[in-house]
Amino acid sequence: MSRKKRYHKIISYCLLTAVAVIMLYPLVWMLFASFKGNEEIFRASLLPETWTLDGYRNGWKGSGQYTYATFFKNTFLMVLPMVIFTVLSASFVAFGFARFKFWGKKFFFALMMGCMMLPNAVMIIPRYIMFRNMGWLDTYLPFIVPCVFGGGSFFIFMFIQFFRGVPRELDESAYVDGCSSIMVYFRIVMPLAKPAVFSAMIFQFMWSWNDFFGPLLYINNVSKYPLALGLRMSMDVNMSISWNNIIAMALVSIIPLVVLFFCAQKYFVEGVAATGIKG
Amino acid sequence: MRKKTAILTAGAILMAGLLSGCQKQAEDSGQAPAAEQNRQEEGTEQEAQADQETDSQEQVTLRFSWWGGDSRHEATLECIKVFEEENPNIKIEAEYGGFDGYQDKISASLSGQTEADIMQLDQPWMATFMAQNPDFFLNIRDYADCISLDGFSEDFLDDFCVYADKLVSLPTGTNALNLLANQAVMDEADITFSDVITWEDFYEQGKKVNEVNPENYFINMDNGIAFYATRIYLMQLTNRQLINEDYTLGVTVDEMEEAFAYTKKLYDDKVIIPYEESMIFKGAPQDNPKWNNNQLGCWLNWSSQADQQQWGENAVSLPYPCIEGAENSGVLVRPSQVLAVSANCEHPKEAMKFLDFMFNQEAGILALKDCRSIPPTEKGRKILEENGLISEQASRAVDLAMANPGMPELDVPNTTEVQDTFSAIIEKMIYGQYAGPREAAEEAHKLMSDMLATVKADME
Repeated sequence: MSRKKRYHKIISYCLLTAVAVIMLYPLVWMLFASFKGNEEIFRASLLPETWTLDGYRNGWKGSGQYTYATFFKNTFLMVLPMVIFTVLSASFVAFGFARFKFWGKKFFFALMMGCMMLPNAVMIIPRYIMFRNMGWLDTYLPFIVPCVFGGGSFFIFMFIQFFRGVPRELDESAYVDGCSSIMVYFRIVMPLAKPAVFSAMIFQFMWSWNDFFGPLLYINNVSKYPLALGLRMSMDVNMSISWNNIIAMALVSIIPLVVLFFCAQKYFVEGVAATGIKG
Repeated sequence: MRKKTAILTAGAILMAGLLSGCQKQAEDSGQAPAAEQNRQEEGTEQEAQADQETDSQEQVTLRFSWWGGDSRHEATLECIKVFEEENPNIKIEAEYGGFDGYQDKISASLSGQTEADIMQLDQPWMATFMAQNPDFFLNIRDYADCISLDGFSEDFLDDFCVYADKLVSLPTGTNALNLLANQAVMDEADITFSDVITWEDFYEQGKKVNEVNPENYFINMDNGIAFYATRIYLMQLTNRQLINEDYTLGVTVDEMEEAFAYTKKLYDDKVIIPYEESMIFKGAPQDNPKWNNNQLGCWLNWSSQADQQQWGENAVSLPYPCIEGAENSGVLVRPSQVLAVSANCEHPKEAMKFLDFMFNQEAGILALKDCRSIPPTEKGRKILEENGLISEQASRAVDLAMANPGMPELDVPNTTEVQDTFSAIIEKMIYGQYAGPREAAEEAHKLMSDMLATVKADME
């Protein structure tokens, strides 16, 4: 029995390792390619013949006017408020939907879900014109302000689903002790919703960090470009491209994502049972 | 107790974040519209004053957007710098990026009337934009006192920049079809071409490269072959448009068969690099390591790409292959891109002045160099040649093409769907999915006719 089990284990580990290698290969390739010279990039070998930091050194300078320091700063200025506001407002709205009965709740819930079904493409032009009329073009407001008001149906729905799993008895015992609704939200529900908070944070961070089309439409001034635009800035159809610079900078630009993911990873596995009922 | 403090601190931090976030936002939102308003006010004042005195010294801001790579960004920024030094009252805000998504951005901003004052556009987009709204761009001829058009070829402007009698754009450079070849490879295979290269000669001699070394090929091209060889061959053969203005096919099945058969021959006899290998470097054949290793002999491409090699002395521009005695040389010449001025521009005179600086003033020409291909004006080209700032091969390619330019392609009926169908059939033929060129030509004729009928129905 135990031999059979062991046998199974070996097979599954082998399979998992094989898949992991396949999945990681592009990243590993990118890592090594960033140390290659431009003419070496398209050669078949994985390891660079001569190791060079030129990609990083020249890449960081950008196209002359602004360095990647500007693009990083811009990205953080845009993404951090988006993440903070999304987590706060989406969970707040979700708390209302999950815990209270109010007039028109079903209708509003359907409306919110309807927004989720709406394809993104049909909203591009109306939204663009709306933000233009508000005079918000060339600022980060078209990205940040929607996050203050719910931050998108997806996140609200995710929080609702999570809150439904948090036992109501916990709220009720707090109410019995004289707690107000808002304090229940801050002190009972939110601390228990850490896994949901972290998933929302990671998703929103990742999506807005990598978003290309949004900034492309709304941001005109190069001094306000986030990374996604900065990275594509020197990519033209019919000109020689310094791939090593771009790959090096692409690698630098995913570091925050990777760091965030590994730091927050442990909260993913922390379930409600572990934190809530026992505590 | 500890937990409580932790929660409270976390809450406090979040609140602080929220508040500071709001504040920052308030500042932003307070400033942005105000700035916009200022700009608008400035604009109206400016216009009012401009009527009284043309040489207003009031501060003017223009937005200029373009796409490109690093070298174009650097050269254009340099040009702007020099211009601003000469005209301290004009400030030019540069908005630049890669080619990805540029067309979407321009389309959205044109519909939203938030476009930059001066825009770099691709010539094939103009038909669509002009169909949307014929008044998107200013008629440049209305500003003859600000910009001189003497250096431009009238025919060239008429062919590519005039819509409904309005000159809506100016070409940034001249781009021509070019046969770029590597002398070292040709010498090794003992290839010599005369002054006129026929397709037959091109094929017969091209075979030798692979015969000398089975790793090497004469032509290095991806699926672009469907355009640069098949379609150009068809144009020379028929002296007609592939697609007519009334959305019908301009060529017969027999004619297509001949062009298809020629293309297939290139693959069958290994004159061209095998499809499987070339598609690894789709869109950038120059990235194939063999290209700079003297293992691939030539390509058919636009002259603006002529500097995409490291062959040194061995790089030569040769006359484009042709059919003997063809009336239409098929050597297309077109603007590399065009520059247009928005009809919403509040300072059209200053914008035109900047265009004049880029095209006609020595300082501007020298700053821009050949970052947008060979300059469109004779003067610009001469200045760059004198200073050795121009790619020799590209310059020669334009000379060769200008000697006998082909009939320009119609841009209205040339929809991407139809072009894609054409390329897809060539692709299938190369992969051997048809019994022969005849079957491929019949299929192409049928599919393209059907598709054109649909496109035409949509237009009406």
